[in-house]
Amino acid sequence: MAHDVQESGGVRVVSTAITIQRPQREVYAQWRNLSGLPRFLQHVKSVSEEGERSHWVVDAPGGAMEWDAEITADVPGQVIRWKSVGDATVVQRGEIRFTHARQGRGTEVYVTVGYRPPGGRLGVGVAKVMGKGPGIQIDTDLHRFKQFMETGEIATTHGQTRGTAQQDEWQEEQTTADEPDAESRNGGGPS
Amino acid sequence: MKAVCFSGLRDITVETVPDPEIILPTDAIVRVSSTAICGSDLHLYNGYNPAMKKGDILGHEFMGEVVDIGSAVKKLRIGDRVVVPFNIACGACYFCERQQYSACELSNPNGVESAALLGYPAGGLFGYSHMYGGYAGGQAEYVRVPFADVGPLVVPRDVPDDLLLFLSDILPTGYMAAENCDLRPGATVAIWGAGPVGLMAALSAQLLGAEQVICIDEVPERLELASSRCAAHTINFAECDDVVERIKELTGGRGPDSVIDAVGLEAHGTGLMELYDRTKQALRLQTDRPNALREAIQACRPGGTVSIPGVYAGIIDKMPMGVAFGKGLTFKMGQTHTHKYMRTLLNHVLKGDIDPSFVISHRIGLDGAADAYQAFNDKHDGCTKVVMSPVPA
Repeated sequence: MAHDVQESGGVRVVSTAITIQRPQREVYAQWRNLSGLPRFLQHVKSVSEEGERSHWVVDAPGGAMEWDAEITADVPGQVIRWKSVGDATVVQRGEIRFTHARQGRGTEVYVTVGYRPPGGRLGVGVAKVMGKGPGIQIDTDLHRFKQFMETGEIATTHGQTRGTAQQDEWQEEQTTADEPDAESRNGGGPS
Repeated sequence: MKAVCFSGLRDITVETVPDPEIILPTDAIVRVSSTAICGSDLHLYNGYNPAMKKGDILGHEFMGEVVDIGSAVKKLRIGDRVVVPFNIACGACYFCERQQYSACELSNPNGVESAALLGYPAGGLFGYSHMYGGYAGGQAEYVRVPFADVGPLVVPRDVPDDLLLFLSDILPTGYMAAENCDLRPGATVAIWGAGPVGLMAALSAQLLGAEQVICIDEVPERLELASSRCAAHTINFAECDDVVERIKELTGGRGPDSVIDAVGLEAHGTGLMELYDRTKQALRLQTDRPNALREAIQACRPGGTVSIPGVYAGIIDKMPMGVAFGKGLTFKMGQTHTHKYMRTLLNHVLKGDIDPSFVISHRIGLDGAADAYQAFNDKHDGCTKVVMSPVPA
């Protein structure tokens, strides 16, 4: 599970790891396609790439949050590092590292994200977005990534039938990130 | 369609809900022909699982006919008659590749939340709370079956449901419990709990070479089934001063080679300390339950094996670890790798080696679910196993 520690200068750092049973280059390549990341990252609405820069749009209550990021290191199959551009952003920097897993277990993925917990109205919004805390959110996103890499789909119960429903914390979050699942519906229940 | 829904503590309702639809391309929709209430459903009924929500559709033992498939389903076809395993497995992850299907790490959409509570990501289960994925269950007219090429076992059309339904859970669960005993020909096995799983374990143990089976319970009709249908010696613990001594007497003073705890703890499905406290509270009201594992450890011969199909969810007190260590016991346990055993057991059923249908005591339609849960919970009316048929035959 993710580890969340306070660093100097008001920055916190979350680190976590997951093993994905696919070759290192394949896992790297899927992640490096930044515009495809919203499929896995529940609250990320879109990522657009222009050269070394990327523009991130994240769903938040009361409107989207946006920022630019810049890739600072990119070693194919091994590591991607980035940092945010400008001051107002929550996510400051990040690193995703890919290493060979022993015993044919595929690829070990190590993620580190430095973030600045915001205060004020924005902070409340971010806290809502990251409901369970950034550590659990990153773990959830990586679990979704692993599901897609290993099975070709992201398991979901979103949209299933139920009795007198009530939404709750155990229900999967209904975000735009789930839309690709919805698109793959071919409809037609039993007649 | 009609579906059996959890509506709160000991509150079961049969509701009309929308029919399930294909959500992912690897899904199938099954029209249910038979579905059973499992002993573990009673843990939900009794409110031991805080991740149950009102409106959740119950049920994880079911079979029926495939009426729709997603675009990526390759093996299963519309019209196939299938038995569906109670656990949902992706078929691709490290554990599925090794046939450890119940440890599937990718089938539970809430895997990370469950890991935050349990320490590991629990696999998905039908109708067994949001901790295990929140998948709608099979006590309904129709059910959505994810990973349709991985779980459902296609079965012949000319064999009655009663012979096949229990391939979904209790028969593989009893069989794996017996296999975990590492039985040698002529072995003696003692089984705590003569409910459906204990009885399936008794039959399976004999199939795997055991010669003497001892069943321990307090419900007369269950002991009668153990004796008449499973050729077991029986001990009614309510009428026996010292179960461990009685077992030793029956085994020439040696103790059984293997012991099976088919009782488990009443609490099922979480590791929350809050739940643990509630569990302890409840266990004070049902004082005999936690004794099964302790007795089993005490009865087993040195060097023997303790097999645990009964469900444990949290922490147990007063485990006789010194006895277990001193005797050098081997412990094997866990949720059933159902998929691994279904085909083998289907063949045994078709050859007539095992007929699990004798455990059925009640047959009803879905409308009778609330009363049936209560009767099964209270062990009233000789209730050992309830089978519901959504569609009248």
